[in-house]
Amino acid sequence: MIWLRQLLSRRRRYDELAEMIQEHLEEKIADLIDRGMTREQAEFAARREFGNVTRIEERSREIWQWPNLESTLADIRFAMRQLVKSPGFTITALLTLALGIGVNVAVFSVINAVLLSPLPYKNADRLVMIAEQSPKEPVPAFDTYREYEEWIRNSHSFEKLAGATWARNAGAVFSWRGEKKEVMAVPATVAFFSMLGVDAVQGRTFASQDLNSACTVVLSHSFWEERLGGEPSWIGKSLTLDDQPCMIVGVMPRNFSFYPKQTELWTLITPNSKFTQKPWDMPILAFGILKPGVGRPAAQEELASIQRRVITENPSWAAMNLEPVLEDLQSEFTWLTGRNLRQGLLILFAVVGIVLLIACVNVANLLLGRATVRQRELGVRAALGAGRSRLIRQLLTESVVLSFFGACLGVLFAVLSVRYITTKGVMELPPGNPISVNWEVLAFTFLLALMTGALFGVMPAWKASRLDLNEVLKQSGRTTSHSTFTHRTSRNLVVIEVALSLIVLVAAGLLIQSLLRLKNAPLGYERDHLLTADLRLPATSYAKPEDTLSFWDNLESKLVSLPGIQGVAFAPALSFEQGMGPVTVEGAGSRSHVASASDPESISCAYFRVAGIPLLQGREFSADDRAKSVPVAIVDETFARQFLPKGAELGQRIKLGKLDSKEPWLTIVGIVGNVSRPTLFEGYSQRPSLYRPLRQAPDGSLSIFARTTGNPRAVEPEIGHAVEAVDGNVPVPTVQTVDEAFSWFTSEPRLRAELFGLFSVLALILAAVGIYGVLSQRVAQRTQEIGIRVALGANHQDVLRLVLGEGLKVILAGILIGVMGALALTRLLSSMLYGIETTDPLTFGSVSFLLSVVALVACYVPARRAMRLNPLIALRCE
Amino acid sequence: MRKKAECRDLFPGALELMILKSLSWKPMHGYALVQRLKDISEDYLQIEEGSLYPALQRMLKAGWLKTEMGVSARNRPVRIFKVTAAGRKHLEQELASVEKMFAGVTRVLALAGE
Repeated sequence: MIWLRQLLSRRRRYDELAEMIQEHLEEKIADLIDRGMTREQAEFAARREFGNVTRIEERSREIWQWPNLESTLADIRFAMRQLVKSPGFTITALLTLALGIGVNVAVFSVINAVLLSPLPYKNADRLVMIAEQSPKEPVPAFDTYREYEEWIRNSHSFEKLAGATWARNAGAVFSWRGEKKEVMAVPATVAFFSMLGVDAVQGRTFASQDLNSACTVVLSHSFWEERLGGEPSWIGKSLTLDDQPCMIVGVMPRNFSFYPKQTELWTLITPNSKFTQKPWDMPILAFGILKPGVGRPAAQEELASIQRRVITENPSWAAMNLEPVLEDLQSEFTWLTGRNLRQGLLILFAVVGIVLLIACVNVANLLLGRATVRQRELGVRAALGAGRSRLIRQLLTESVVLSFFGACLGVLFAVLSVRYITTKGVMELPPGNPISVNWEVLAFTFLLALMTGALFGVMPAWKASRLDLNEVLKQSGRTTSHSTFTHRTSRNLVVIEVALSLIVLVAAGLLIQSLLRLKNAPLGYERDHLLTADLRLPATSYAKPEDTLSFWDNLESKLVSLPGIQGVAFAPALSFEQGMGPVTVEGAGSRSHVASASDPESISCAYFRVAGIPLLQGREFSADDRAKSVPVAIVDETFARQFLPKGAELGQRIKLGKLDSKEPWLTIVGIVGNVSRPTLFEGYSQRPSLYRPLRQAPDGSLSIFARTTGNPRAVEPEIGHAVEAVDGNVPVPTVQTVDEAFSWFTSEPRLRAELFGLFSVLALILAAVGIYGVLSQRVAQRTQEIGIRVALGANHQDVLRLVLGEGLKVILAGILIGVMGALALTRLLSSMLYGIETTDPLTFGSVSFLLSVVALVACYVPARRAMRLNPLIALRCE
Repeated sequence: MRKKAECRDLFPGALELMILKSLSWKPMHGYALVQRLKDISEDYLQIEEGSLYPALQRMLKAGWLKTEMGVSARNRPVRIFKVTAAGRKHLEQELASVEKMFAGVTRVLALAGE
């Protein structure tokens, strides 16, 4: 901080310096007088020999100064005075910049938290997720505990390997003070927490001795606080989960989260865990931390070789020939949460970048306009000896000061939007870092402000400093000669602006149309008036299939008698597509069809009728399809087309699993229409589906589907009461319409469409303001010319044509360039679009039309002003 | 203005070096320092009185010198320049490198013509 002290003590230094020189001269004068000079002669001689005192003092002072810094400070002070002097300009420019910079800062703070900052775990860069085949397919990494143990025993690439589920619907029934609630309980293996390097804040995390207990849980901080009152005494006690006592060993820190973020507690996976018996019930993914220096490909190769050996030793495991794939955990998180979140954020960043560019163009235009007015001032400065680079420096300082204040306002705006994003939950965010406007974001903002200031300032400064001194000083105030040049520049800027807005508008148009298509896509069933409620029977009290079935029977008879309900059925919850094991078709040799079909669904007899899925061939399930009768199945069209012999579909027998599996042969009794299921990607897919009668394949977690006659809301409480009446121990479900249940699926595309829509409106307004600004300036400059034209007999139409024609040329050029730019850029959106081409001519056409209309309106206002010009007043200006 | 033939420009740092050396012999005020340098160099070196001050300020800023109040030979209150520890260290380093330079130049001059 020496420089700071020096800066502060400068005044004293200067005084001292002056005194020293004075002392010097006096000593010398005294000396000279001693040698016989008169006082006058001595003074003269001393000064002459010493040199120019002022000059030397100045040179000595400079030693203590930073001339650049000081003149910059002076420039900044001057710039602020200038800005305060023209509040209209300043406010317009500041607001434009604040918006432009603000949206960039907001989007960057999301990107910084989600994509740039490392996950808040120890050695986050070495954490990987292991999936089978492809991380984009919901295929569990391992489906038996044995397989997992094989990996741990044989692999050398990992410091630790752990498993945990990523399923959205992982859940357990939590009994608390006589009430039953469904909670999100995620099964995890012993090493899970130690792999992440995060310790419990109360108690401990899982340890290997817990493998012998029946059930062990670690609580999330929010669960412990909100449901158990945050008492430390809970450690070591047990709570009831799925009617089973579970020992609480620890509570995780408040900010700890993993996927899915809503997880309330973690249960320990033991060799006896449920998923070992029913592989597809609970997809478990493997995670690992690589040893330092081990690359992902090497680890992947090692796991694959273990897998190949395990499969040859135990052929029954060879369900699918899958190869493990390693993904880095952070990118996997963003994928799991938002499918295209990473790409979406980057594209969003590009779009807000474009909005900022448009804002810059507008401010540049404003500055150009001001430069014309300030030419005289600049001329005087130049005449007093300021070089061109000095003028440019001063003008650039002004624009950077402007963008700096714009950025300050923008940060305010960003803080508000970040608060909105995090508290309102507008988007699902991956676990990890909280989104905030932190130091990194502020540093980004500062850089952005500097860049922005330079971007919109450099061109106007360049133009404004090109002065013909004589011309400028000769003119008394009005300037004309220079303005054609300035005008051409600002016209070109508006062309750019229109082109950029068109690109953003096209992107928004495509996303909005895509969203509409997604919402209105035919799903293969009737979703109007269809209610759904997910039920989960406690595993312990419904261990026997008879009990499960009688529960569904009782509930069905209760529900159908309710007024307002047309039909009731039970089927698995609506969820996105999931894979199925191999399917063997009888008589097709030993060949099995692998994967690519949906899970077999257990449904009640009325399901197709209630859901409105058409029966195409054969029959529906009936009450006669029971445990002891012939096992039957109904497949959909896609299944029949892909796997069954044509013409002999009905009566064909198939088996779930390989030929040698113990599964029973199922006889196909019917073919129904296809149902579209949301995919983990955007859009829907139609996978081959297979249905089994509930009586032959009992299931404890199903959803109620109810078709109502009137308002679906009216029967909501009735459904809850019915469930309670049948069994008070079953948690009361949340009733939703099918559309609501699907809303999570369209939430990403909707958010994206909304954001793009918002930004495109912003771009449109900015472009309109830009066009308006340039044309009104132009009209003001051409007042004399228009006056002469009118005086010579031009009528209103001619004047209108003159001004509008000029605007039209700009708009058309902008649209032309914009269309070409959009054609090149919208390709990036293709993975986010559903049912629409990136070059959709309708979108391009309507967007161009909209933009032209708005732009023409912006032209019309100055044109009208020109039309109304009084030629007398216009000419008097001469 | 033409310089006298025998008056050469100093190499960079030479003035500082001379000031440091003189002041480390005895702390002096500005006028005395100028007189001293003039006396010693016997007009071989052209040192303008005034040009000393920017150099002195530079050295104050670098921390090689400090000022103290004192009295001149005429009993006037004046500011005395003193060499600091940092200045002494700098002087030693510079002297070493200057000696090396002179040795080099002397050697080249002696042998270059052979």
